[in-house]
Amino acid sequence: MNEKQQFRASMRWLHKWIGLILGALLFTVFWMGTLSVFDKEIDQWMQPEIRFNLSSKQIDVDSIVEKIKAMKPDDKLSSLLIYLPSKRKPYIEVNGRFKTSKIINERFHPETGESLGKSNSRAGSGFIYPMHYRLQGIQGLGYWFIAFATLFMMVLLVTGVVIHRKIFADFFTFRKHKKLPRATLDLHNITGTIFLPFHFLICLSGLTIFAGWYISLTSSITQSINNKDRTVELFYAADDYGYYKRPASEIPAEMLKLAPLIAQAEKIWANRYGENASVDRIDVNHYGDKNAYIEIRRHFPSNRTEAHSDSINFDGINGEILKDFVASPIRKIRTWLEGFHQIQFDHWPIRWLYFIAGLSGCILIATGFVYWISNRTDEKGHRELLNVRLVEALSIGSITGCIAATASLFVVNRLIAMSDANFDRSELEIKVFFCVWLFTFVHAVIRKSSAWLDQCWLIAALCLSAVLLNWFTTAFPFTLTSKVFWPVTGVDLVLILSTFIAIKCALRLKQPKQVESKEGVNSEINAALINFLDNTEKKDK
Amino acid sequence: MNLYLDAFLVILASILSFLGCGYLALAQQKHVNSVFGRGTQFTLKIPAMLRGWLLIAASLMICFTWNSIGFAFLFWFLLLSTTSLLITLVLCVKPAWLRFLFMCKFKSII
Amino acid sequence: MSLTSITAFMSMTLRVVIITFGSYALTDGLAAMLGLSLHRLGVPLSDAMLLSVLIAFLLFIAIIMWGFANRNSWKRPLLITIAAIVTKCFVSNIAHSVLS
Repeated sequence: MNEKQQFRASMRWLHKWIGLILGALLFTVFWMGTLSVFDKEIDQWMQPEIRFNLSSKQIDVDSIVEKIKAMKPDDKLSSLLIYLPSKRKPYIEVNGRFKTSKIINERFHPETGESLGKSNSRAGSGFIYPMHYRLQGIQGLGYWFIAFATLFMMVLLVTGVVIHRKIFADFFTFRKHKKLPRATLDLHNITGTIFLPFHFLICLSGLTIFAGWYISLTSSITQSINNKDRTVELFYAADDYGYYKRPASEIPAEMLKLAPLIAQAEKIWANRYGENASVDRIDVNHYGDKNAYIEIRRHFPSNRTEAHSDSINFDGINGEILKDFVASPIRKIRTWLEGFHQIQFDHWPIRWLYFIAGLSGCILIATGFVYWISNRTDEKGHRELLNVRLVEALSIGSITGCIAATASLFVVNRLIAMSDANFDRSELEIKVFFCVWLFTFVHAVIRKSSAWLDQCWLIAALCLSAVLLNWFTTAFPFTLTSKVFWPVTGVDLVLILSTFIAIKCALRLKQPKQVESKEGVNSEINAALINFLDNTEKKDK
Repeated sequence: MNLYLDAFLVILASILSFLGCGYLALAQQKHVNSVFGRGTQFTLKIPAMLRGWLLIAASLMICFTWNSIGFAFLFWFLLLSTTSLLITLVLCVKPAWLRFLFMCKFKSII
Repeated sequence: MSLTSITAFMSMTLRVVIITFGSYALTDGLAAMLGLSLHRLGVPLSDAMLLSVLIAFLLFIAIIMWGFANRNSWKRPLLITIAAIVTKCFVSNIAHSVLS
């Protein structure tokens, strides 16, 4: 073999092994990420109290601050985090921390200022979105698993390009009617090559969000061993977004009102950029203290891709500007990548295209698994003893299992809403999610390759019940008198579409039943065992 | 801008991009064979590439009219990928539907 | 399972682990080195580190592909590990003078 062929063979080995080991995790991340494109719409679906549009009249932010203070009258407020309403998140969200370390998290209607109560479901932005960057239940480890998985996803993409020789010749080729390995490989190739720049940029931009922290893990480890090594502090500079800090002075003082500061910040940005600029995040630190400072941020502008490029720190007592952070041109590369990944800007056609591209990424990973399995299955459906069955169970559980578990999240959310009982609903939803997911793995082990078919039916049933439950517990969207609320109806329509797709897949997968006698199964196992022993004997010789 | 105007421009850009990708696909002989039947004598490489890239550029221009430059490129880029995938699916399921892309050759076949 | 196949499997696994973590440590060191060099050339520290961190992700892909290009030899994992140790020692000596 010449060098080029040997390199290709090594890259094929690498692509196969990374795909097998990390494929399940990567599918989960891609699936949750694709759903996160519409996380705020899913929020509005799962939490009916926030199903309203952004209104043009907005209540004064300072009255909200007074309300927060009134919630704990004998305690002193020490810091506040306020998220102002945006088009897709039309309510005011406030996190208040008090001197006794109590934290309250409240949502307010932007027009009337009435409290919307605490959300009883983590929904899209509380569960699905964090799941795709830090998993759930394993504390900080999830960040690192996903960071490694993303790095290796980029390796998968590059090795995939190396081993796929006919990139342009096969660009539009999908031979669906051919045998399963060829058809699956074609689908794997087209979703890979057609959306290659998107997948690569999504992985790279996902990593840049926590870039300095991710790269410097080994430096943190060496610092914990040897205190004098300060390499990791170099990487703090990469993550510097104009943060400003100063300690509290313990001298009480009268705080300024927030509204004029907000107006001032918006005016500065409007002058600087010549366009409408609105504040979306306010951090008040050391409230009521002489050294109070207020950071006013324009974290996700609605009309540009860059995120987190502007922030102004004001003194809380006399209103002078302490730090006016504008991203340097080089930092704008990073903020562009972050904005590209987090897609919080206001552009619904791009949002739908991201959804389609994300789904193509999920299909890419799924077809990778199916290709590997079908390559090791002969025409009669026989498989080797352990490894193919294991990968098959793993892939069924992680692909259709993950989809079924998310559908169950929707169903449980609406089922719980029907009961008035007072318990921690959000935790119950998460528990049901993981129980259903675990069940799908067990089901895949028991039912082997028929599990694909069964789980397609399960997905169809769950999606349909979710939509019907939504129409039963809240309003049916298509009446003559009421206007359609598109965010929620959009989710309903996607669920209905998923039902149809799942049913079509299930009908496709239905194969004629094969008469299999007990002896047949035993002889298959015997043959495989003899094969296995023969191979090991050959290796010994 | 007006919502209906925006929607119309989105659809227009998508259709132009779809047709453009269809022409680019027909630049390859195996796709010409599947669309016009096996054993076709003609190649469509140069006219297909020309028309394809022209339509795709036109799609980009349409995107510029209703977007800022950054969003136009991002949207167009994703649109290109999505319509390529659609063309692949059409070529796979019902290739004869793409015969209208080259009406003269189509008419000579009928 | 024969003894030779088990040892082959264990040595393969060991090489895989060394290449993976070695490449990660090497990109860490190279990112710091690149950032410090850019800073020496006059770029502000945050911009320099930022650029080097973004490039480091791409470097990781290249090093992994290089490391696995000949997966049966010990030469490449060894080279990666030595390079990682060298760059990190080098950087930790310079980091002091830049930060203080």
